[in-house]
Amino acid sequence: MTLDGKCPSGPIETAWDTHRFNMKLVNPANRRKYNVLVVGTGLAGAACAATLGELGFNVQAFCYQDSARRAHSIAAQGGINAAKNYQNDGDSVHRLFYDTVKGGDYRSREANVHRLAQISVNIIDQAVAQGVPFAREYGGLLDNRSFGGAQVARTFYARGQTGQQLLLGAYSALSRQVHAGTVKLHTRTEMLDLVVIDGRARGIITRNLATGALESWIGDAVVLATGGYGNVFFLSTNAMGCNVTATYKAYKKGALFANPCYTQIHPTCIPVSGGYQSKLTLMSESLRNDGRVWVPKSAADATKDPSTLPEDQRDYYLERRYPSFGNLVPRDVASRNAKTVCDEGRGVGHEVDGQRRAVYLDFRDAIQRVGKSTIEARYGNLFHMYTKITGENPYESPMRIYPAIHYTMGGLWVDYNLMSNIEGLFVLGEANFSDHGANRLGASALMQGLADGYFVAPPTISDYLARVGWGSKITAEHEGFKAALGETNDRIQKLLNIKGKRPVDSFHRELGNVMWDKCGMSRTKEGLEEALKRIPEIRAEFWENVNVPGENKGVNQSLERAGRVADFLEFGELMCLDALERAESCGGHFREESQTEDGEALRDDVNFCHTAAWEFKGVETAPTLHKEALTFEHVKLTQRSYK
Amino acid sequence: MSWLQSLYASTIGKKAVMAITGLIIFGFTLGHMAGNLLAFFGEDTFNNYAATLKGNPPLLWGTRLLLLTVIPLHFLTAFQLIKRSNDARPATYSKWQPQRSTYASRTIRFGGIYLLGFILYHLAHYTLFLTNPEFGGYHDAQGRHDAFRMVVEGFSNPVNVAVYLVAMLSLVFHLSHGAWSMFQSMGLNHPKYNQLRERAAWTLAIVLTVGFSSVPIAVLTGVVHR
Amino acid sequence: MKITLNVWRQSSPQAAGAFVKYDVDGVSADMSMLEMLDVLNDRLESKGEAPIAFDHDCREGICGSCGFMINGVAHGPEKEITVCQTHMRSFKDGDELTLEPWRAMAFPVMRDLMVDRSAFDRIIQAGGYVSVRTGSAPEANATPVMKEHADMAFEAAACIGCGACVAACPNAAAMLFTSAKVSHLGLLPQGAPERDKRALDMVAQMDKEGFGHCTNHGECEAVCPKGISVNFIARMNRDLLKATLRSTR
Repeated sequence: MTLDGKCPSGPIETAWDTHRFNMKLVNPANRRKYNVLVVGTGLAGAACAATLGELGFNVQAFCYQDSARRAHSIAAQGGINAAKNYQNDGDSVHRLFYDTVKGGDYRSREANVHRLAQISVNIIDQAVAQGVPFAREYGGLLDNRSFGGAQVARTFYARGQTGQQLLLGAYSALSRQVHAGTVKLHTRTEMLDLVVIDGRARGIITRNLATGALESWIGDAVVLATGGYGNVFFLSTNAMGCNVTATYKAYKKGALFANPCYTQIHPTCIPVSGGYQSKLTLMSESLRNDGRVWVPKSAADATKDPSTLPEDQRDYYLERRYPSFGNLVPRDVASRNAKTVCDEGRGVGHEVDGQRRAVYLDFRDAIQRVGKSTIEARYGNLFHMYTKITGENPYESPMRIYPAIHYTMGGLWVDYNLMSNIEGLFVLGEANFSDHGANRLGASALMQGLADGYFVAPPTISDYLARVGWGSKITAEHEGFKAALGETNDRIQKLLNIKGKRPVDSFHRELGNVMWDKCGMSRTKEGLEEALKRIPEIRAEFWENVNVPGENKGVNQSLERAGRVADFLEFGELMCLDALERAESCGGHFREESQTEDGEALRDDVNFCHTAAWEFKGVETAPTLHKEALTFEHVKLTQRSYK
Repeated sequence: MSWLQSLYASTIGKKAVMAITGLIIFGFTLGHMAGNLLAFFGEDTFNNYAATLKGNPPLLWGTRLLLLTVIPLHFLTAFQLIKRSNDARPATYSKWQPQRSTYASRTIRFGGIYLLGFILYHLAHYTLFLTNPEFGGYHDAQGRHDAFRMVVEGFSNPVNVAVYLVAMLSLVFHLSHGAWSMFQSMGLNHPKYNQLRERAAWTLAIVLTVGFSSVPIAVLTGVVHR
Repeated sequence: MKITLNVWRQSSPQAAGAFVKYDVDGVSADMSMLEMLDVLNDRLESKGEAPIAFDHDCREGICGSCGFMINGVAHGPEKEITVCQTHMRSFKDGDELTLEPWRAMAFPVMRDLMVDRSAFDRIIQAGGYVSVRTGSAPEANATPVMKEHADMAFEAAACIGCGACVAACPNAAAMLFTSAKVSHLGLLPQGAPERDKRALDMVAQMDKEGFGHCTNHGECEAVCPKGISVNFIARMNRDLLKATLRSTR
């Protein structure tokens, strides 16, 4: 299989416009004859479903939540980037493009990223017109802030709830189409399989989470906007329901999974407090502007009251190792260093499973320097959140933080049109792999989700539909649907019939521990090989000893979780395999074997300047690796340094 | 007029009806109280006031007709809303802890029902003379209806006074929430003046109650006598 | 700590429900309320019993999925947070907690503590949007918005649609929810052209769903995890009355 990204030729600045002109259109009167299935109602899914509905296509939209408004895009705090240059500080489409390619550590497709930067300005216009209440200045115009180390202020924000406001904007556009009758919304409905007929994606199988009913849906195109797979680690900043099932099932039906090992770790999360921990809460990185990160010099002091430790007993390890950037080193560097000091036994806070995994983030000096009220004005809401969760007062004792899984850059392989290698299967937002390379910059996830949903996918899907036409009649009686429905039902019955001894979550936690230890912030060949041995063992035990109570009737949340965990137990293996194969360090992927003398990530552009796309060959069979070479014509390959 | 019907059909429209009818009743009670206080100026002033009212049929019947429309509408709408509220929560909580609501807000409907009973009794007592048919036959030296004697005799009965005072107590709670709520239901809200609304509601409720209660108490204690 | 729970168990929308008592020991003060239920559910699942069903997703208080009554208070005793952010340190060893689902005709119980809040979606579908097609938006800075209005619109827009306002309201009214959206869009110039229509349509749908009326108790504001003010209710009342008087329908 050769992977063709189908990037348009010609100057990158006009590539998207030229490409759009070359696309075929569907006559307005014919649009309602096409059915498009959109799975997921986050930024990408809701925006895409609403836009296709506005165009006049027949859309069926699905989400597992009880309302389309609850998709996890809602939790994004920081903001959304756009090359508006409202601040007159030298920003431009090219600069946003450049920053994103560089930030992605040269593992993304230039053409896709350039288009993203171009479209970013339209997103802000669209959101404002929908009534998204972005922060404004007294003159009534939009405010910006800088974010994620960018040298320009290009981030638009709505307090700390930008994701919520943008999602509610997309949700309102979607609701408008539901009212207009162009979109049918199916909430509490989870996609459990993709139906591929004659090489084209023609439908999905869903389970109604309220009744347990399995249903077949026929479409001329299928759009997956189902988010990332961070919950393979069990503990992450993702919502509890986030899962890999939709994309993984598509992978099992022949869609390639690209760069699954690219995961992003966020350095400032509230640490785990006990074995019961169900999720991790992120706190804005802005805290590192004033907080100083440290651990005790001696492991013996880990349990001492931090305020009693004298200055010479503290190790401000980031300031020590990176004198010029100090506490403001990039996410991955800050995260790995926290892991290192904790692995040395100098971690602080609660002991969980025999280790203390937290470091101090201390505001003592900042409070002395600028006063408590200034710190309160800057971080009051974050301190409040910290107090709510931990019961401690960060004005008096240092915060404890630890990195957590936050975003996954990998996803289903797509071409420039966001179509996977399966014809008619489009993949949007975090679910695809295309724009962030090996590392995503802050405030770029919202930008990509909305760019895909509002502006990229609708024309490319129209083009696809115009090319395939609406003639082919397929019903739910087709063999392809009957087989998929049968398989889905068998799998559910199998899960329900095990009636073993262990609850579903215990397997998920066990898998998560393996993934975090071996395929987390820092990875080694030995560790990954160990994980590749261990995961199939956990999976085997799962299928023998899990206890899924009840039956497939009505609400059965154990069954929902069991299905998702079963897929994670297969997917985790694919991730480790990809991490093992990529014997270089890049972005969020750090292989200990590939580092500079100073312990920094060392890219290997000779051997790994490609996208790794995996083809499913069977659960117990190794997948086949396909490579899409990456070329950089506009941004020069360079090594990062933060010394 | 279908827009009026659809307004009345909506919960917000019904609340507006509650507010407007409430405001009218409130205005009437203020005037009524002011008139009552004339009892402190003696028989002549009071009977003169009563005769003036009676001698002005457009004013008297205009007011009566207005009240005959507005009071039943206030109660009818209230009963419809109470039914709606009960229908909106068919299964009640086994446990419920109020967080913000007040005794006045929670009891407004019960106070209202008591006041309805009271109004009927009050009409039977002093307007229709059903309870005391002899009241109708009282005349003063100038041949005017002796309303003053009627009031003094009526309030010489402690049970009667108790019924009135309980009604006035209900009124203070009913109005303290109702008068504030009226602004809210009509959308008259501004952060700068919101506190004023609550204070005004309480002040007016207390003024009304004290004013109304003062006459029966004064009669019972002998301050006002024939 | 040891906590005793009285949990409403109801196996299906049609089934009759009842309170079931559970003793949960080994509860840590650092657990969230939902993590404590996870622990109980793991124990139930290990025994092959049906776990307690409850909606939840982000567990950071923003998605609006979670919510139930804890001892008669929507989202429990702490102010301006959801149940997922309520930690067990809010309670003490030996406490007995009654967990009950939101109760309203428009929020039928699906199972245990899980209710159907799709009525909220239908209220939004009736008019909780600005009718702007993708691609037809003018330049974002073309219309300045008074900062005070933008900030107030944000405060209304912060609603997470959890349903606590309905749950806590003695009349099971959805006024705070509906008014938050009517106000958010009504305060912005982008939402102005549809302001009348929006108020009329959304209120009509709210009534159609069978929610109660507002008696201005303020219970909704007190339990709202985002602290949304009842001032927005007055604003919606004003919008509706004005729309009724001046619109042509």
